[in-house]
Amino acid sequence: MMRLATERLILPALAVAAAGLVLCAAGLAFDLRAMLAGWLPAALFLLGLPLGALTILMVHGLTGGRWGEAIRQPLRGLVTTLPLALLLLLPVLPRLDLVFPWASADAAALPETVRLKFSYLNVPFFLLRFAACATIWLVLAWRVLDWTTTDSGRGSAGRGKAYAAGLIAHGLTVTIFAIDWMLSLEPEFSSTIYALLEASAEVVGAYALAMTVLCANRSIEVMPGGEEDVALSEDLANMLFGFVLLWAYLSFMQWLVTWGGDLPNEIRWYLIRSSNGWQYLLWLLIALQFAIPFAGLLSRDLKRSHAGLLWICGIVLAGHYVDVLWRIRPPLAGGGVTAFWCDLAALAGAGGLWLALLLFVLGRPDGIGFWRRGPAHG
Amino acid sequence: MRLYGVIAAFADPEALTEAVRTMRARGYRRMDAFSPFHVRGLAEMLGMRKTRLPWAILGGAVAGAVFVYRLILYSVEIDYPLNVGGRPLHSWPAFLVIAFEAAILGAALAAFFGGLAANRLPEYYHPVFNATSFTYARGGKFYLLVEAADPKFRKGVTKGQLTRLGAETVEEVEA
Repeated sequence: MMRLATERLILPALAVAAAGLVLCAAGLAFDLRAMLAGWLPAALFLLGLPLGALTILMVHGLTGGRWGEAIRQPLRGLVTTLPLALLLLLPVLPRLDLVFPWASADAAALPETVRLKFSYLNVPFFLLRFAACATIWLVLAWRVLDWTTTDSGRGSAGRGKAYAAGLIAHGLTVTIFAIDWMLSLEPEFSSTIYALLEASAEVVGAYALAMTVLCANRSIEVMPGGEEDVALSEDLANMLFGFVLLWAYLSFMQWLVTWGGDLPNEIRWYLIRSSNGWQYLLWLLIALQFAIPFAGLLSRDLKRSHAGLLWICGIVLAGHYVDVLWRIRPPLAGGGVTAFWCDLAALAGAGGLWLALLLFVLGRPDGIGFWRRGPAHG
Repeated sequence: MRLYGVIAAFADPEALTEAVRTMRARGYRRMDAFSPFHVRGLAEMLGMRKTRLPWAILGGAVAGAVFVYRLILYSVEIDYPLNVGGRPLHSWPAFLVIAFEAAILGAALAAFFGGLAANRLPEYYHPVFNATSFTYARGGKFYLLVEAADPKFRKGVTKGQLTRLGAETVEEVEA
C-alpha cells in the first residue's frame, strides 16, 4: 500500500523537478543574481528538514517515548536525504559575492561594524566552515541512522552519552550554519537567539512533514498512545504543539529584544521584513505557524481526526516554508515581488528532486541500509 | 427526615453495570455510581456530562490577560503617562509578556476554584455518606444511587427494582 502510493508519486515529482530545473537554468542565463536569490531560500528550507529530523531523533534517543518510536521511520527517511540537501547548496558556493554583502565586490564600502567582522566573514573561512559542518552532519546522520535501526526494545538504552555528544555537536554546527548562511545575509544584524530559533524552526518543519507521512500511511488516530484512553495521534499532535510553541516563543523573544533595543542596525532586520509587501507574508506566517495550529491543537476532536491531522500538519509545514522565505528572502529581493517566478522555479526544481528521493526512500525502508554498508558517506 | 435517594450495593462491577443499564432503560436519569476502582464505560452509561472545566480555565486565562493588559494600558496612558526612550505609550510587545503571565495565573485560579465549585464546595459532604452501607467499615462494594429528585422515582417501586437486579443491600439515604 505504502510502496504503491509513494512510487506512483515519484514520477510526477521528477516531472515537476525537471520543469523547475529548466526554468532555473533559464533564470541563471537571464539574471544570475535573481535566480540565486530565489534558489537560496528553497535550498535552505530543504536542508533544514533533514537537520531537524536529526535533532528530533537524537532528542528522542535521550528521552524515549512512544511518540518517537512511531514517527521514527519517516524521520529516518528525512535524514537519509541529507546528502542531496547539502548538494542543493553547491550552486550558490561559486558566486557567494552575488548573495552575501560581505563577499561582494564593494565589501570595502560596508560600515565599520561590518568590516570588523571580516576576519570571520571571508570566503575561504566560510567554505572551510561549511565543509566542516557538512562532514559533521554526514557522520552524525550515518551514526544516528545506525543507532535507530532497532524498531523496539534495545533502542536507545545505554546510548545516552552518544546521543548527548551528538546533540552538542549538532547544536554547534547548526549555530555556525545559521550564522553563516542566514544571519550574515545582513552582516550588521546580530541576534544571539537566532541559531536556536533556526534549530526549533527546523524541528517544526521536519516533525510536521514526518507526521504528514505517518498520517498518510497509517491510522494513527486509532493506535494506542502512551497512556490509557489516549490515541497515538494525540501524543504526536501534542509534540507538534510543543514544537510550534517553542518556535513561537523564540521568535517573539527575538522580536521583543530587538524592538526594545530599537537600535538602527538591529531593527532594520524587521523593517525590511515588514514593508514592500513582506508584511503580508508575515501575517500569513503568523496565521499558518501560530494562530491556526494553536487554536486547532487545543481541540481533542481534531487530534483524533485523520483529515484534521493531515490538514494541521500540512498547514504547519507550509508555515515553515513561509517562515524560511520570510527570514531569508527580503534582503535578497532585487526585483521585489515580481521576481517570485524564480522562487517558484527553485522550489519546483529543488523541491521536486528532493521529494522524489524522499518518496523513493520511504517506499523502501530497507533502502536506508545503503548508509550502513560503510563510512563512504561520512 | 428528608429523603435524598436510595442506594444499592452490588458485589461486583458486572452487576453494577447491568443495573445501571437496566435502570437507564427504565427511564431513570438522576443516578450516580460509586466503585472502589475505575469501571470503564460506566460514566458514559450513566449519561454523565463531559467536564466543562476546560472552558472555565480558558475563560480564566482570557479574563486574566485582558484584565492585566487593560490595567497596564490604564496606568501608562491615563494614570501616569511616561515616555521611555521615545517608545510609544502603547508598547504592546512588552505588555504581551505580562499579559501572558496573567493569563496563566487566571487559568490556574479558574482551575482551582472551578474544581472546588464543581465539587459543590459550600456543601460540607455528600449526602451519600449518611448511608450506613456506604461507611468505611462496610465499604468496598459497587454502589448505585438513585436520587429522589428523579421523575421516575417511587420509593417502594425503585427499591424493589434494585433488589430484583441483585443488590445485596438497598438503603434509604437521608438528605
